[in-house]
Amino acid sequence: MNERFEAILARTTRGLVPAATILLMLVVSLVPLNLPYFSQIAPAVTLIAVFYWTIYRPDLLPPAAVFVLGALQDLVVGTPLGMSALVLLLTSGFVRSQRRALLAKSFAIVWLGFAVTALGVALLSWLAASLYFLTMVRIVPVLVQGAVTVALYPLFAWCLRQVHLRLVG
Amino acid sequence: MAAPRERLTRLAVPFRALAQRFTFVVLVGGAFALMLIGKADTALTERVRLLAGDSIAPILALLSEPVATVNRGVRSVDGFLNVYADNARLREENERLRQWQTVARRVEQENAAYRTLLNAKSESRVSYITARVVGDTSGPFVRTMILAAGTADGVAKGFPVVTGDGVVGHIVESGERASRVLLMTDLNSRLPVLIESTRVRAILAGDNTDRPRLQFFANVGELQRGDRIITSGHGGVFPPGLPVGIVASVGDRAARVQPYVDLERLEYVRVLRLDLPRLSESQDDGRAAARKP
Repeated sequence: MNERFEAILARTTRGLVPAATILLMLVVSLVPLNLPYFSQIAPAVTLIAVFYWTIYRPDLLPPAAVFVLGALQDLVVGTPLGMSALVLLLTSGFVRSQRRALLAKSFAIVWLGFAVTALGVALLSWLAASLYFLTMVRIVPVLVQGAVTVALYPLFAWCLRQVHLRLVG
Repeated sequence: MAAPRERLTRLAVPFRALAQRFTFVVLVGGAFALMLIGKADTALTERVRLLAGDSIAPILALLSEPVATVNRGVRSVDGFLNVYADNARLREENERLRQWQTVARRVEQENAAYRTLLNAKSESRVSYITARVVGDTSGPFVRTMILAAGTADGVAKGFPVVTGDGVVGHIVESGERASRVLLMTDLNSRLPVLIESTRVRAILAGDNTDRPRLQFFANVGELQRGDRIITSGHGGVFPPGLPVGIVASVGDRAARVQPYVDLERLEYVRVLRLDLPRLSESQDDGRAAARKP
């Protein structure tokens, strides 16, 4: 009985790891670093995490969790409520459909897949924000942020991999 | 025993896929619905935002402390290395400021004398609430910050936010312990300003760039690079005469302003609590609530 309880507890904890890492990365990304120009090009860390977990452990990051995390991001960052939820949700849906093409491939291929996803996300969120604010939001910072996110993907993916191997198995 | 179960699983798989697809579509629809509700700007979304801000502020306050300490350390080392250059510069500046002080004193007395002569009403009383910046939520879509001070500290929606250098923005959300500042560079920021030398009125409109745009009611007139921009006090949010920035570039239809405040490096800001003259007390509810101890 006790062993079984422990097993269930362990499984639940493991199941919460992806969502927890996304939440943690979101909170840490809000800490003011006081670096000039950094805040506008700061990488979209939640995008990296959603991409990573959807490829390697889609069972632990269901669409409902992505939706809730996206909505939370909107609430704390101040972006239009629902915008990040929509963008991250579509990201997870897209990655889920392309999962097989990326899963057993080399890191470079996965990175390329991420670059394509990030470009789509940049255009989509730019469109969503422009429609929401009923004005043309400048697209260059959005693309720059996307490029920074792609450039930093290996670093964050490595960190997530360590968490993945140690805590989730 | 195993066979029926297997058959059941085989039957369940398409259903499960269908259910998953359905959930996904419902969630995407939900995200759209959220955006529509947020656009309608109901009191509910604001309350939820406040709740989220209030819960995250203490965590951010804790996390931002070590970063701030490192930054302070770097700055003190930097200051130590530049102590000679700084000293020379400051001495020169001090001399200049002393002259200005004499001028300011004289003008102040003159003003006071004229005021009594004209029986002019003094406009407002201002008090400050100093707050720490704990969250930098600026990105390509919004330019906002989270402050670790809320209604419990006397901060309320609409209050101006400044530093010693000039205007930062104004409060757009204020929870119990945390509040959100809309920077003047944000897409949704509109600040009534004056060109200091010519007293021409304009609106300083943010567009998510570092340099907000000046929009004029009439023709631009004689606007030059380096002209000082100050708040006009119209609209009753900002007190008149606060420094905003200097004109950085002048184009055909619009000019851009470089803010005095370095919005990237804010550690502490001051929230202004003013008692501006108002037409009716009913507009005063936010302030009245804030004044309660």
